[in-house]
Amino acid sequence: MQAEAQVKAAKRGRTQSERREAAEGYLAISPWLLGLVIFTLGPIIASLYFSFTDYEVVKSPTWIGLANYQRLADDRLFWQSLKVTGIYVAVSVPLGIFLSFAVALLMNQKVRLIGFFRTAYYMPNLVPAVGSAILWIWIFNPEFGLLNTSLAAIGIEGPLWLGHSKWALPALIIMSLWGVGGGMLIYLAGLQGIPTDLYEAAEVDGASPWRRFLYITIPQMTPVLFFNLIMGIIGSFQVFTAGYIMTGGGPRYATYFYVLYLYNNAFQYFRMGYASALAWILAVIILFFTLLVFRSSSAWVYYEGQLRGRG
Amino acid sequence: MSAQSKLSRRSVLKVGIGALGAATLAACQAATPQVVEQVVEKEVTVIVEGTSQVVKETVVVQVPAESAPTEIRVAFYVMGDSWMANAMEATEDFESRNPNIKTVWEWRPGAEYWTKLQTEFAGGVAPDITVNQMNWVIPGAARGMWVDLKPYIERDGFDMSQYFYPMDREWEWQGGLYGGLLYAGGQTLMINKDLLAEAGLEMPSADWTWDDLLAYAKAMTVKEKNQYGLSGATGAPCSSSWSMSFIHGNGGTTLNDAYNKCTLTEAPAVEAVKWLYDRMFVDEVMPTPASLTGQEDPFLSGKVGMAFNGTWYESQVRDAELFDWDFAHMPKHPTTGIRSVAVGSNTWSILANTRNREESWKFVEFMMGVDGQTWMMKYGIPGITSVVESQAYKDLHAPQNIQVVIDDISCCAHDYYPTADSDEWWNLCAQEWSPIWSGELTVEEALANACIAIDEVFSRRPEYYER
Repeated sequence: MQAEAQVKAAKRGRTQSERREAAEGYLAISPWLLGLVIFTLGPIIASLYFSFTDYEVVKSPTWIGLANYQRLADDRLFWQSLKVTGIYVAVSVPLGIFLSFAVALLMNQKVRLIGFFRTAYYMPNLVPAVGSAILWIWIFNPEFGLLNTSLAAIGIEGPLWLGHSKWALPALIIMSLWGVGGGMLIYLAGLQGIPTDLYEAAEVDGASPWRRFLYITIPQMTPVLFFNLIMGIIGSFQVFTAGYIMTGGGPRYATYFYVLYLYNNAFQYFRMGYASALAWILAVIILFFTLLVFRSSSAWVYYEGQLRGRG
Repeated sequence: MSAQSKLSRRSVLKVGIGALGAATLAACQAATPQVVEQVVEKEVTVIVEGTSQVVKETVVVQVPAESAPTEIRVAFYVMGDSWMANAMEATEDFESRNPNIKTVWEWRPGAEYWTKLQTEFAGGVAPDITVNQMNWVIPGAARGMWVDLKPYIERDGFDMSQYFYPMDREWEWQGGLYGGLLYAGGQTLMINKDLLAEAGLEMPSADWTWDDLLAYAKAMTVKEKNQYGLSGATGAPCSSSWSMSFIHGNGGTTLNDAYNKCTLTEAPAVEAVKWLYDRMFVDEVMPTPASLTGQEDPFLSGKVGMAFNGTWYESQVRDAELFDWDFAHMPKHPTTGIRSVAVGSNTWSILANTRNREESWKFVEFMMGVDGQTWMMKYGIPGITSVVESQAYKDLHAPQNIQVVIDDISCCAHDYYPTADSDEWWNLCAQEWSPIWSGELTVEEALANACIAIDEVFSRRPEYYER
């Protein structure tokens, strides 16, 4: 009967009071809606339009159709920046996930001063990106920097780091790992949410610590891993500050990230139209990988209470 | 709580919308003042104990908007306190001669200054006047950002022959002039006289050559103290870098005369860069760029005996008061006899969408002229011959011999090859140049790659990019 009443109500449409209530709700969120339209949706739609124009910012845009997108194929710096960014994502994201998860496991122990250690690992995330970049320029100095000095102490001659095209990108990847504290915090929350009775039951059944980790901890943490993987991919594809502050994209384009190339086109080379096209290509690439991870998640992400296989 | 006393959602919405509307109306009111306040100084006589003491009192009076002075907005990078105070004094001088014009300075961070200016211009809210620099003037002129000053110069009979500093290559575009000189700037060679004395040397003569420079550098290099003889010559020969003067000294160039083809692969340019390369890796009298990353300026920290720096660096070295120093002439090439210095200065430019062209021109005309150049002579090199030859100017820079710099700029200046696409080919040039100093590529390989990248940019130029 209740279902029947609901169907009847749906067919009837909204009552006047329901419509008024809906209007009041929209009015209440109208400031946020206005902000979304003016500051987010508006620029997104504008950038789509500009991607089909020759737009030098200080002059009016001129429609040129698909010319900006066609230009990408022959633009060696487009492919170079995509390659550099792809390598950065492929290495820094898994490394970052692995390290932050490992640190979270360590921080999930009941030892003295654990609060201090958790804070210490998280502190780098509070340092502004520009300040962090300047600090790491110091650390990477090949003659006087902390890194090469430490390597020299154990008999290793350190490379030129930011001064050599083979080592500049690895240097920036190493620098990105300084921020594992952010992921650590999320993993720690996840770890502390795992029901302890699962571990107790496994222990009673004689499961070793490694098997408990493999068959309880990892599956229980897959939703968090999934979230961090998505956020890591989205964030890493947009890497910019390190390249902009520390290397300018060099040496010899070794750290010429995609967004840095986009920025140069938009604000240095008066090619906002082409930069808009670059932005949309990046959006599609990020969307592709995000959807790929989402599609794959059914195979490896486990949610509490979820039944799998033939039930 | 009863139903009547409970605040309903509708009441909250009504109050909220009402408040928003009232705030909007108030903001509109505030944006359209009917009168302006004008600060006026007047003298009043105050009698104290039988004497008559004249004091100046500042009073605020309201005047109708139409008779208020025209406000012009002047945008500039944030500078040091004394620089900004000096600029304010110059402005007061200008306003006392032009009481119908009020200047409002906008001190802005240097970072992203150009980006912000472009965005403001596109949005129609740009200032009236801006400081301008070598890699912005021509790109902006090619895109209609600045007002052409030539019509005003010709109309008002402004005497351009009073300048010793050449402005045409840096700020002329297709027959127009788009910048008025703020002060001249360019390459200097600074010598730490304390380290010079330790090496048992005297200040070099005006006729010294590259060979003498090398001898001096060797004498002032002390490996045990991590001290080098020379620095500052390894930036890419595009943009503001001093390696360019070595290329020119050897008879080479970065671009051809039309500024549309790279010439770095020609023998004179390659030889010059190899000469610098050998100073770093054979004689080891120059620190590598990699070793300088994140470090304090080596000249200022007393780790380098001689350094190429911009004229704008002088006040920093002077204010530091860390050691005795002086300017030296750029050395001549031992064979060609050419002495070359790279120059690139700051200008005033009027934004094309200003509503106050005449008033803006008045300000620029003042700052370009003798009075403005006199005000700015403490912080840079005036472009006007009479000002730069004045004893007052020389005294300001004493005990350093600023005449050396003026002589070099007068005789031997070369610009930074400003084009409508400066930033793009400068960036690529720097990218291809850097592997020389890490040893990844030979000089020939790196310069060949640089020319490929630069010429590729030029090949994609639209027609209107040509000077």
